[in-house]
Parts: sequence; C-alpha cells; structure tokens
Amino acid sequence: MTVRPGFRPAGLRRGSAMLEVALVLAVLSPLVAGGLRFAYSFYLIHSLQDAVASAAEYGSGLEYAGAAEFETAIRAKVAGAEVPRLDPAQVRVEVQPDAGGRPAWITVSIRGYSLPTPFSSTVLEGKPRARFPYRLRAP
Amino acid sequence: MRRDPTERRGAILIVVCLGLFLLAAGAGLALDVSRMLLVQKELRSRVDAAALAAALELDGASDSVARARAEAAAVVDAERIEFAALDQAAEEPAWSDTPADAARVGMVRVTSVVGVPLTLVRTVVREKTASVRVRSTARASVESRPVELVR
Repeated sequence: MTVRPGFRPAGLRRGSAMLEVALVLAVLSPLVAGGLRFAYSFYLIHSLQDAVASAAEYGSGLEYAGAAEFETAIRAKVAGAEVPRLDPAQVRVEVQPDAGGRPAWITVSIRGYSLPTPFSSTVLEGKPRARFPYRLRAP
Repeated sequence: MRRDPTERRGAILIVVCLGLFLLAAGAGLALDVSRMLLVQKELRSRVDAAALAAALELDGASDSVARARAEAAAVVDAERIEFAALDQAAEEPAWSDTPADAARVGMVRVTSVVGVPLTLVRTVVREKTASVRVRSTARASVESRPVELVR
C-alpha cells in the first residue's frame, strides 16, 4: 500500500483529537477562570467605591446628633449597599471636626477587605476612600 | 476539489496566532476600560466633594470666589482643574472664571481631567494615555437650604 506524504491512515490518527482538546483546554480554562475572577474583583471594587462615595455624600447632609450615632448611620449606609462579604466593621468613618466641634469633613474608607485578584487576593487598606465636606455646617 | 494535505501545512499556525492576538487585544481592552471606569468613579467622588466645598465658601464676601477656587483645587488633586462660577443675578447668566460680582454668585462648577495610562491597548493604538473628564456643579446655600449638588 502506498501512502501519500502528509497523509496518515485513520487508525494512526485515533486519539489525536482528544489530545488537541486537552491541550486547548489546558490553555483556555485558566484564561477563562482568570477572566471571571478579574470580572468579579472589578465588580467588587466598583461596588465598594460606590458604597463609600454614597455613604460619604449621605453623611455630608446628615443631622449631627453625636459622634456615635453619626458614624453608625454612615456605616449602616455602606452596609446597605450589600457588597458581598463586607463586614460593617471593615468600614472606617472619620469625622474631622471644626472649631465648634461639629463635623467639617467626613471620610469613609474600607479596611481589611480581602479582594480576590486573578492570581491571589489583596487586602484593601484605606481604599476605596471618599471624603466629603459637611454641608450643614454654619457658613 | 481536494488539495494536497502538504499544501495546507502551517495554516493552523496562522489561525492560532490570529486567535491569540485577538484574545490578547480583547483582554487588554477590557483591562484598560475597567481601569478608566474606576478612575472616573474615584474622580467623580472627588469632584463632587470639591464642588460642595467650593459652594460652602460662597458667603457673598468679595473674596468668596477666590476662596471657593482654592478650596476646589485643594480637594481635587488632579492634573488639571477648571473652575467656573455662575452669576445668577446677571441679565444673561454665564459661567465665568472671574465673575464681576462675587456677592451674586450662586453656583460653582468644577471640571477635572486626568490622564489614565493605557497598558495593553497601547500595543494596538498609538495613544499612551486616555483622558477621563468629570464635571460637577453645586448650588450655594440659600436661606435655610444647604449647599447641594446639581445633578
């Protein structure tokens, strides 16, 4: 039997498709998994940024009736954003007072939140952060 | 018409190279766009805060616009910031960097532009940075109404 150059009989090609699929999957599956993980971390960081910004803005127009109540209300606002795995204790609220002891600036940030990244995870310390002036302060 | 298999050799290499290039370009675009969106979100928060801080300085005094401008620049630590105030009592209200009468200024507008360095997209396009522009407007306090952002 004569065999043309470059042509292999069907019997010799058995299993080659499986090998090719395995090779392609070995390359593509980490890529897809990394992409999904990246997309999820992107979603989380955006959600956190939105949560701290809206909470700081909310705090800037909130009636001040004591530091504890004020900070609790702002922390609750961040928690209300329902960012996955965010513990209210990880929300840091800093109120910078003016000379009269009333709020002048409100800073909301995240501390100790573990953010998954494509290859490992990173812990957010002080980021994202939003700082707003207190709008109800006396002119 | 069947072609000799030896003539098809190497075709898969071109397809794989093209596929990998498209995959890398798509991933690069996604990374850079997501980074730009995040920068825009952070900048939005800062520019909103700057506009509010500037509006809080509008107390009718002759130096109020200068104080408002300085306050906005201090809050937005950006490469470029544009400040404008609106003389609402004028016959034709217009945004101005230096309004004639500071006592009549009722609104301030803060605009900031930052350049976001591109990473992987640079391999496809010539630009090394992409500009992100954010603008925010705030109204000064009127009677019992506090300063507020104008959406």
